[in-house]
Amino acid sequence: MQVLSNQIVGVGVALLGLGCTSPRTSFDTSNVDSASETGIDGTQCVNTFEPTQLPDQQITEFGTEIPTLESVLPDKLSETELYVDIVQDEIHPAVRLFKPQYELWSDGEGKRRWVYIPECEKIDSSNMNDWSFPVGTRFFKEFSVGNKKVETRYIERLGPGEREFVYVSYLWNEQQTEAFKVSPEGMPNVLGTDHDIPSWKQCVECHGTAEQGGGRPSRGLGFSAIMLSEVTEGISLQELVEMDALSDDPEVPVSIPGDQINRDALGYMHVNCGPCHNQSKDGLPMYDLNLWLDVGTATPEDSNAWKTTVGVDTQVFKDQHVLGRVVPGNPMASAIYYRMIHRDDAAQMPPLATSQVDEEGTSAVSAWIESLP
Amino acid sequence: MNLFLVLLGCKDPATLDSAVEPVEDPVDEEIPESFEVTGQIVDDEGAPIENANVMVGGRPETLVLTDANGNFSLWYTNIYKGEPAIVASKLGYRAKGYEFFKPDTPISMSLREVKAPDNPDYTFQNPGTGYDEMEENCSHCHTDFVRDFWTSKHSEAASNPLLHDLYNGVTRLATTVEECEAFGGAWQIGVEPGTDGNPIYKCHVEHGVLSDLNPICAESEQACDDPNLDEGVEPTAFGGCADCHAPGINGQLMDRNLHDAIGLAYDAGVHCDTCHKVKDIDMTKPAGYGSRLVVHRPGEPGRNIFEWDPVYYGPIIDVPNVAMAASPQDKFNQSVFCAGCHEHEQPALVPETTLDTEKWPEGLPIQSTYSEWESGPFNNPDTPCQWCHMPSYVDKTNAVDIATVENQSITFGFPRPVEDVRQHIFRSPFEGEPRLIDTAVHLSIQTDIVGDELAVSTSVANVGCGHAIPTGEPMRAMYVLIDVETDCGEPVLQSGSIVDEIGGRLASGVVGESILRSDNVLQWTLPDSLDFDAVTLKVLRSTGDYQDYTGIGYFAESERTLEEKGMPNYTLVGQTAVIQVADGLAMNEAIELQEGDKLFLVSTSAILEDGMPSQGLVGRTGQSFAKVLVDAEGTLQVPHYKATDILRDNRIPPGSNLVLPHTFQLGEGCTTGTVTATMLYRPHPMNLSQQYGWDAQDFVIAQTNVSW
Repeated sequence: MQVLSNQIVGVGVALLGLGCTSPRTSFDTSNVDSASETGIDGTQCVNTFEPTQLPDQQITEFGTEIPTLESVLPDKLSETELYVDIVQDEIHPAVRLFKPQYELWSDGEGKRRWVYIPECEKIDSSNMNDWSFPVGTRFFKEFSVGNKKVETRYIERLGPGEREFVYVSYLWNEQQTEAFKVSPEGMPNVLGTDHDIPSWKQCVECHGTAEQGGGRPSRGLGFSAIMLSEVTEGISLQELVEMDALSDDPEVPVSIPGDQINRDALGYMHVNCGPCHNQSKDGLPMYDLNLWLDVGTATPEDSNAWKTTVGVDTQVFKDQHVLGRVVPGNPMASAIYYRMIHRDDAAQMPPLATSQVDEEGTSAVSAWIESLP
Repeated sequence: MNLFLVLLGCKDPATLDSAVEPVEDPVDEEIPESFEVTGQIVDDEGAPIENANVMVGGRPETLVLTDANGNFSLWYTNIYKGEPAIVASKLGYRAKGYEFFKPDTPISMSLREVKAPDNPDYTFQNPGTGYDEMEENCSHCHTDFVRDFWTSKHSEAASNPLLHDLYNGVTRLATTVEECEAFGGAWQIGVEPGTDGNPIYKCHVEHGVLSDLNPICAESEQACDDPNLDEGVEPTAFGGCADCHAPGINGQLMDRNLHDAIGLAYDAGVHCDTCHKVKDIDMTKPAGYGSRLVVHRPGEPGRNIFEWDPVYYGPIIDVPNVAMAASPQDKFNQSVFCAGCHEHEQPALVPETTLDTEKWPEGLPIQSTYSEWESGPFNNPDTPCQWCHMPSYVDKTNAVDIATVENQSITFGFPRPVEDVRQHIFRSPFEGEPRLIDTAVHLSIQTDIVGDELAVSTSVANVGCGHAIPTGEPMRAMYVLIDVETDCGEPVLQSGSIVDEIGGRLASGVVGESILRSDNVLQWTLPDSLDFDAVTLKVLRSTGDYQDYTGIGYFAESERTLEEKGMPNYTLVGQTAVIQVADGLAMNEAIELQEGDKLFLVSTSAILEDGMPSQGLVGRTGQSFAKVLVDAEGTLQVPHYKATDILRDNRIPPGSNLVLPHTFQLGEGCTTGTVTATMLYRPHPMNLSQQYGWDAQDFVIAQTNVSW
């Protein structure tokens, strides 16, 4: 998939026809053999990585088979171009580290994330709440337990359609020298840890559509304006703006409103709950609960979370402890908090990908509820 | 080339190379990227069709409706993939596609009407196995759908052994004449289910649909399911079982004998061609295939290999494949489609029994799953039954397994949004990981200790179902059990509910009626088969008052009195081990009995485990949840064909909870303890399991505990 130097002209001509310009310089690939280069006329643009090609039908002795989208991705993580040297943990310079300012709780596991955005394309940010990533965009998320890498997840946008994304997972070996693509069923308790690799079905329960369980149209949940607005590590919203990577720059300051108590709770719920509980077309149907923080929200009281929870009765979840979605001053009577501290029963939230309560995150939400007038 | 394959629009695998090569220029070069398409849609006699759907295949945003003259105009944008087509359709007509068109040239398409009436001479088509690609059936193109179907309960609807046990009144506990006589049954010839009258010996018991509804054969020397019944004593009342369980019986619909389900009708139950011959849902009619499910089998002569001109009703409006001849019916996307059978009212079926027509003016609501959904928080177009029970595929964009974006066409169909490609698994309570039923119930406990009194409050909530739990077949029940363990011995229940007779028992009786007492001995006629090892006698006494609950349907109406809600309170007067003596049962510990006390023999409590054999739960601290059907004699939890009334319906509606208060007297010196609440699900009652020889199992679907 990597574009070699002797292929650049031909590919560049094709890209020229699509109106490409020079690659953004912020993705510095100068020290890599296969880095993108400016074309012979100085105006061509070449992406470092080409999008993975959609599969064709295959004629086999058993008849016609349609390869799944996932099957066209490499069997080994080292072949995904995330790394220059997987053994030495040397990440390809065209792939950028990012870390959202609030993270999805994953039972305390260590996580690293990277993104590759085709240099010749822009993120369609005309809707600042739902960026549309260019075809060929790749997200990687690595999970580690202690010092042991256990899984790396890979999302790639393969086509312009809203569902033309592919989701696979790679399981690391004990030697930590390679990771291998996991079957669609996923895998529990890998490498002797409590870490479960999700099934492909579970991937789309968060990254998919309303029919599949809930999601956002962008699919890349942690790589958003809000989450990159104030970061301490990796690529930031400001950097994306400076790189001219967005089709539309933010028209208003992008931040989480309020004091630290509000910010911590709204930010936490935005990334841990908002990907399903939102009012986008891909949000969980039926419920009017909305925990997604829209860009431009000026005050905590204006936030979706505030407006759809504070003093609002629950729609489906009833329990003797619970008096509403959020009951000011009373976390235990608030369904939001009550469900966050439950595991392994029908009250658990989020309903998948976690088996331990996030003490820090629930404390932030509890403190917010306590602080409400 | 296989003629069938060609007609179906699918290519013979031997020649598939040419069909699947990348299409370099699938559209005429002179067709511009974007232009207006106009035209007219007419019927096969040339009359314009108003309100027909017209769209670019696979592009719902282009959909328009024809005007009164059948004219339409839409904007076409070429996507340069496959063979784009204009598709026209309307309910009652066979959809058609138009693949070759040019700008500025109006097109005309005629749709063949599916003419009334329903054709009883039609033969339902076989779904296929889902594994043989050469099969000339649904499976040929819809391989995954058919594989899904065969994993579903719908495929077992006509062959379910429990259904036939009830229908024929047959117990599987006795497999020889001696066993049958010992059981009190009659070893008689009956028909082997699914066969064309193959006679076999079976052990017929006292009750069954055929014998209870047809006294004329029940009183004869032969069993009512004897395939060679004497003339004049054949059953004529069939309980409507086949109307939902065996829709695939060819010929005249409704009021058919379940034994007419042979071959495909038996093997495949509610299969592809039965559902996709449903033209409409008419909620003014009784449940059943050919009644509320309005069936329209084609009567126009077919061509080539088709005996009848095909038509398949379905949810998609742009299916132009000639072999599908699709006719779009949006109700396939809606909960109301399921109401065709999963909402069921019935009259009194047993001769000489009646319903209270003031109480049940529409008939006895045997199944109310649809109305439970309709009156609950899941009543939303985005969360119909199909949302949970026919979940969308993760990686499938077309109902045809060999279809791709590149070969989209009239033949292969078009890429579709995820909600249009649903798994045909009809997901049942125990399917999936986690099991669907394990996401239904949330239990919570609050405790408070004042002095030596422990107050326990248990909340039982339906948090995951769009309908009540349990739902569907009214034989199903659930039980929440409250157990308290302390370091100071077993606490004594002071107040709060106990599980009533719905909890199941090995035997039961009423003092002064079926049980007489002489000192410490109970004169009680019990089954010979009863094993008295590890058996406990429990004595329940009515308190004279009734419990309140939210309820379903009639029982949820605000004007209902507690008595009308029908759930009396009981106290556990005592419990003791018993031994069999010459003249009855002797209680190990004396219990002061009164006239009217209800006595139950239950197995001594065992550890609650998922899938354990059902045990009598009567008298345990907790509560049962069920729609309790009764017959004319007042027998509880009868099969629905016998029912003449509903005693109560305290099942848990969607989005609601019930809080159960209990108090316990603690022993002296208590410092620690644990309260555990467990929710059990029981698919069918113990008494029916005992009668018909079914595996009686209880399943743990929720559990929680609190310690102090």
